[in-house]
Amino acid sequence: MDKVVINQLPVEKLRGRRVFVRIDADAEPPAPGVLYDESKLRSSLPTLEYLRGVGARAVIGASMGKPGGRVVESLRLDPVAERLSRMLGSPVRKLGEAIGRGPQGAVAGMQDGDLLLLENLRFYPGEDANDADFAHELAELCDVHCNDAFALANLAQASTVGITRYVRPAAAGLALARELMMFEAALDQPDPPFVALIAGARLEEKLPVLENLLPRLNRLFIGGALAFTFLEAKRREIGSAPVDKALLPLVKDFLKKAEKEVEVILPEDFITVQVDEFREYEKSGRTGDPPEWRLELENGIPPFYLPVDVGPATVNRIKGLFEGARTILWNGPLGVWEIEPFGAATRAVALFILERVSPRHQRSILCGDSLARAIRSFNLPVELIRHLTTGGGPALQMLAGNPLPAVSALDNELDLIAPIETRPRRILLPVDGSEHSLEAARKLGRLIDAEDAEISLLHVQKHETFAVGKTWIDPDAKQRRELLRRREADLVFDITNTPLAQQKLNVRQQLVVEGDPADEILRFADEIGADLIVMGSHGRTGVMRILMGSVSRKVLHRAKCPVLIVRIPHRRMAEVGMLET
Amino acid sequence: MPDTRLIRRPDCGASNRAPRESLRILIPLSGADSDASAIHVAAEMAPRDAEFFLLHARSGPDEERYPDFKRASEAERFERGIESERIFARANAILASRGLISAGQLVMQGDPAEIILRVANQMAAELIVLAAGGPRRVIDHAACSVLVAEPGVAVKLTKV
Repeated sequence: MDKVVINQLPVEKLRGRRVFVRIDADAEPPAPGVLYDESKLRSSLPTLEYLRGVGARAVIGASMGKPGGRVVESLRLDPVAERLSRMLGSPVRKLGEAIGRGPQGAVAGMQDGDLLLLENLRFYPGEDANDADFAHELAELCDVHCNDAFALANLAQASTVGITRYVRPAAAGLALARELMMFEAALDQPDPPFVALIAGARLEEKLPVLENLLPRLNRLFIGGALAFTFLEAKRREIGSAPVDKALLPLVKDFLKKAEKEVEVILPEDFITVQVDEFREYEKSGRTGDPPEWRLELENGIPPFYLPVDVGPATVNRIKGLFEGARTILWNGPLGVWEIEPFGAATRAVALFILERVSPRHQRSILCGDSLARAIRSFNLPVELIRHLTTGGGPALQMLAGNPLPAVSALDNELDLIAPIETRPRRILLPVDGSEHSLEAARKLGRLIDAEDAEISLLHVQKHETFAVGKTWIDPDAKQRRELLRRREADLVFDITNTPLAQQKLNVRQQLVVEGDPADEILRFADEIGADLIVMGSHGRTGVMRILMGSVSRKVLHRAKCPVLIVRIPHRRMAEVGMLET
Repeated sequence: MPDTRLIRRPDCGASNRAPRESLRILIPLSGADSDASAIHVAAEMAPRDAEFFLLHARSGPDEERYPDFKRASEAERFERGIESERIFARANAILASRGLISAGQLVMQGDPAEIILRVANQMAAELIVLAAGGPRRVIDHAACSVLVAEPGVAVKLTKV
């Protein structure tokens, strides 16, 4: 993994320093003060313990539920602080806010090894919007950033992404690092045979995953509701099972593509119920006895029967596949696990992983929110299952081969060894006193972050060809011409400096040269090591068809750095008489 | 039609935000590796309160302008969606490496230059950031300012 992990930072970077740790408290608490899922909290204990051990001052940021950017009393984090205190065996102080004077004062009073929990970050609308101001306020509370919330890594939040603009180093927490390494090992160099069991619903979410996994896999088992569309593509009789008709052509394509590379295995038998009875049962809010079920072979599900779980033969097949695998990936439950008898297959496979796979040197990854919920509902010792991920969304995104924003925001290991040298940005602004170049000066601060930039103004004056002949030059005339040129340049600089000063931008030098404008601009850009050339230009508009200035065109052709073409709005061009309306 | 919808993230509504409107930057993407240059430059140069809108401009029959054309099947659109998602995810990862994220994402099919100009107008973008190989016509015709990330490369490629 190329991201810095918190325990790779030198201890002196942590001791006595304020470290912001982003953890995930819980997705959806069922009742105030009750935590649905402690495992997420437990996963961040190693990082918190490590920080306390090295004498850092941990400022913990967390979120719970979806309060929607406002204070929801039942989603305050007091139960989280209380639970963390108990798990860590040392007090975790909880604040009533996340930003502002209160937290600033509390953080200033922290001792080495202290832990402090901010209020639910999602009480603030800026958190989910990755708002720069909110991120900045959080950044004021810390010197080091640490993200330990894998379950949120597919989002870009102020506490995971925005804050890294202001706080460096930004490192992965131990739990996040562990998750990333698990997935990387499976995706980058899986130990063969690599078997994937992809089940659950939502074909549209899983298809990108299947496509991305295909070249890496040796065997692919498709189960759950997902399998119905695949069975339909193979023209099997599947009764009343729901099929994603729209995606059927894609599934057919996929199967054709997969044929050459991997063995695709579908369920062999199903537990089915009568569809009307099942609907009745659903309507009743799943009270009373679940509908009668019967066992059916894959090919023979009669109409009006709905598969709700896979049968024992399929479970045995999966066990056999897992038995011989070195890398295992399982996503999504196999049946309607929420209804007790129909979670049997999912439970049996989970138990097999727990008893047979986890103790051996097989790598297994179990992911998906509903699979995690299912396994937890079976009362199995989930901690012993290697490895049940805490984040369904981010896992799917990684499996589909897409990067996670909150991970991208962290520092690379290389940044630590050779930090990028930063110097003020150098901007070259060629000026000629025209409306175009003035517009460029006026808009510079609006379009570009030029606050700390060093701006060089360059005024290029054309050679006066008629006066070149050496013998002809009259010294007085030459002097007069020099004076005129000076005056013209001063005037141009003056009118350009006014809008720049209004934007509080910083002009470092003003240069006057003679020659071809484009050549001189390019030469100076090289000389000063410009990071940006800013040119004013009129556009080519409908009727008028004015060409973009030949100078800008030439600069665009040959510049080695980015070029900003500042355009005067059409309306304004008419106002200043540059366009007939 | 889900793939031409402009998806906006919720407004952050921070109270201490300066009254001026934030700068809307349009970054057209083609799916080529050169996309990265535009995003890097945009992230590096943009002012603090800028909003980045990603536009995946696919070349193909213009579906918005000629709705009578045979529409792509849902499966086709889904497959395109996956491709666009991938392009956006990569772009967002670069933005995120600088603490930023896109404010909106849009996929459109047609002539890329036309799409870019049309969308820039519709969303009142003040700046378009063009990658190497981005359509040259945008530089000439845009009503707003254009930041060309790798000027030399852009011109060479479009000349071919």
